[in-house]
Amino acid sequence: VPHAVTDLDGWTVGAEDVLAAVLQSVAQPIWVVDPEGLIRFANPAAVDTLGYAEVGELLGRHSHETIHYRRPDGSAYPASECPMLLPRTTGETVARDVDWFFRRDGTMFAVSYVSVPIAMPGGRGAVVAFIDIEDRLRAEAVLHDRDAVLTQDQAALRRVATLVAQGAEPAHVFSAVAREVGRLANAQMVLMSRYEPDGTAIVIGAWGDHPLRAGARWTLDGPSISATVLQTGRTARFDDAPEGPGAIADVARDLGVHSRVGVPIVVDGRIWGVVAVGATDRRSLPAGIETRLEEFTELVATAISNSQAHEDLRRLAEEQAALRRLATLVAQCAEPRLVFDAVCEETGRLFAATTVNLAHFTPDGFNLTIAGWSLRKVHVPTGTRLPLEGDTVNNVVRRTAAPGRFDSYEGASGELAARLRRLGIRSEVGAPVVVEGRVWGALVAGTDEPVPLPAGTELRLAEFGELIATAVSNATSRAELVSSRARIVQAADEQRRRVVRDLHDGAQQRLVTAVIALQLAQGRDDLSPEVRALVDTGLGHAGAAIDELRDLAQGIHPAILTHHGLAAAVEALADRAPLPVEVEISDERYPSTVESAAYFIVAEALTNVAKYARASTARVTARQDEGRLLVTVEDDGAGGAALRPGGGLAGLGDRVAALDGTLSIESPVGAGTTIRALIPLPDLT
Amino acid sequence: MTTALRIVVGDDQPLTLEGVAHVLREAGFDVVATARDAVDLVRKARAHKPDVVVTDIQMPPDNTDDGLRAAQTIRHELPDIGVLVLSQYLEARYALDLVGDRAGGVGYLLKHRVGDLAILTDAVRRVAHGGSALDPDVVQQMVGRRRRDDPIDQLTPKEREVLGLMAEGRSNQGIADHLVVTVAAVERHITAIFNKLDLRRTAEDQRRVLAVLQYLRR
Repeated sequence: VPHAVTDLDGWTVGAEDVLAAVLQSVAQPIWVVDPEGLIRFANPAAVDTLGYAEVGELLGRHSHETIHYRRPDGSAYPASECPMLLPRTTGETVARDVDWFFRRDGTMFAVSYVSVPIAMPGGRGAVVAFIDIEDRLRAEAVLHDRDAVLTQDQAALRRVATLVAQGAEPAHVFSAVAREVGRLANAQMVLMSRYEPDGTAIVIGAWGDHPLRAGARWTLDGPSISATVLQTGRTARFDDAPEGPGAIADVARDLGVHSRVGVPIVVDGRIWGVVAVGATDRRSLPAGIETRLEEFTELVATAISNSQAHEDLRRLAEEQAALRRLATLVAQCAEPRLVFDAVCEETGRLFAATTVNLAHFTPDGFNLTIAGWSLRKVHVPTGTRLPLEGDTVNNVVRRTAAPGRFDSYEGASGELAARLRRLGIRSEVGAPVVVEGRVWGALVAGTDEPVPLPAGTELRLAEFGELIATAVSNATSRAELVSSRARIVQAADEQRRRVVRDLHDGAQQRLVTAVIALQLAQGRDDLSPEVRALVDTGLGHAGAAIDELRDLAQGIHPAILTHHGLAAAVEALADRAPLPVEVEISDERYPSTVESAAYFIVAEALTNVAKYARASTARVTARQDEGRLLVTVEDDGAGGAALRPGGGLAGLGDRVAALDGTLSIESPVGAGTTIRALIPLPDLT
Repeated sequence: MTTALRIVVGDDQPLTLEGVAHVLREAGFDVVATARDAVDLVRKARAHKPDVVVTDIQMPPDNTDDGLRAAQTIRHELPDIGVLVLSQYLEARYALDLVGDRAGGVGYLLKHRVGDLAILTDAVRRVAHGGSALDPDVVQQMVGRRRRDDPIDQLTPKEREVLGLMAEGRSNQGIADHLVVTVAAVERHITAIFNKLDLRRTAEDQRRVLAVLQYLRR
């Protein structure tokens, strides 16, 4: 071996000495293989890494057979196929990023190596340098796993975000979130709950093989993870089985939950709800899962906040608009029924209820459904009358005279609750309608969704309840006005009837008696011709007076109207009319004020037809139409008639108005005249 | 004169009641009882079984058309008793309600006819003998009712008169006497009327009255 020297910055040192010292001290394992493939040299790092005690154990052994005899899958690895030995034959350097060597004890480890050719006395050998890459691979594997988890998380978040962006129903979003979280955490149980102001929580999303589902309400008592989250406002973790009472704890125990994590959903700085995750194996909820869940709930909270803020604004605007519309309707003194229907529909749409009913609490203890609206025609029908007993929000409102709610009709007692269950209504909120200090009734909104209407809906409903109250009290005072006017009309009718009766009992009878007396006188034989002539004259006048009195009485108030009703009385008018009058009226009887008003309208109209219309026929009809009597008198005459102030028909219009009815006239020139009166029939309820 | 016709009179006004009873007695009838209300009238009709009940319409107990209803009850329950209603109402409806589906033994006169002895006695007799007697004014109202495309408009004035007299319940002889024509002439008119109105001929007076009334009230 030639003696070489090397220059170390001015120092001449023996090259072999330097090389030997470097090889001995360097941490890089290195060995040398001769042309035969036998190990000729191995530095201490190589000896140590390969698990041998001293270099002597390696020297002279066949390199490939000692450290490289199998592939990682356990199969034989012939030396002829080994690239590490190739430099001996090719003279090329070979490098492998990943390969596996065997230690002395037969264990395998990952390496990276370089094999460089070297000229040796018997031919070409190779210098092999390698490093143990086990740690690096492990680190890489971890990194890879983490990337996979992150990717999984991101995908889950993206799915949820997409749902939110698509404007999916909140219930749908929540259940999707519960499912994603359950999968991510490899949990047995996920409960997403919304904290309610009354110390309860409502499940808004659930996942896992357990009976708790969205809509279930539970009380936040005991050391539950959700209670802890609410108290501390922070993520909490319990690595034990839940203790203590409560539906949630029971379910968790049944599932064998031994590890629990709860993460708050914070919306606009307020603890809005919680995502609680439970697993039977604490390895399923590794350290760090909290952070992943927090990231997740953060996005959920943002989504809730966004949608809620948007929703709140929209709802506020809609609510104000609805209130304004309804208030206008009330101010216009629209029919109460109209107002009721409108309020039910507006509130139903506004609060996304399935159904809205207006109930009146009758003085005799019944719940009378006055109006109703529903999304799918499933409300309790109008007119339903049920005893005010059992568990319903109606009863709650009546008792407390305040807005209230009933979150589950499951198992609730009473017929109304049973009907609601049959209609699929799961929960209701209600607001009182207070008229003159008394709870007149309730405005009730219900839903067939598993999640009850949001907390506070009942308070907002209350504003509409007040509108109803105003409409009711308007209607009551209006009804009082109408009924007092009707009483006046009725009194006038009664007076007319009395006048007719008095005529019959008094003047008519006396005239008849006079006629009889004159008749008897006339029968006498002893009358002078002059006296007989006077008696005849007297008889004639008395008879005429009876006729005239009869016509007068008939005009004031015909007995046939009292005795036989509108149809017979109008037929009698038709009997006397100078033109053909067709009559289409059923024999049905109506209240006397209604019959009188209708009769006198027909009488006046027929008089006008005879006087002015130049008609060839007339037609009179009367029929019931939505709680009113519709009377029409039509002719085929000249038309051009009008209600003249002070005219006969105008006077009758006032009379009809006093009964809260209307009188109208349609009379185009040359096309006949139609007089139409609508007279409300007293409500039978 | 054999035995006088027996009559029960009903009217709630004492003056009228006495007056009517007096006139009827003067006319030779036997007023066997009087009643001041509808219930009493029916009771007395049942008890006395008179030939004719003469009654007012408006009477107690209800003071509406109690007298008319009492008359209908009597007609239904005691068909042999003739019923003559003296009414202050010129209304076809009351007369037709009273006649119902049997035109025998029934009469409806306006009250002031008590001042015309001939009409009153004639009506009482006709009713007593199973005939009918409707007030000419009431009949006139029915015949005069204007209708569209009314076959009655095709009748001659004389025929209209005959139609009215038939409705009043008069016999052919009665009509002939009233019009001062022969019975044969009356029959010719009647044939013409029935043809024009497309009515089925019937020999019997009561059925004829009913047919005519039903036609007028169609």
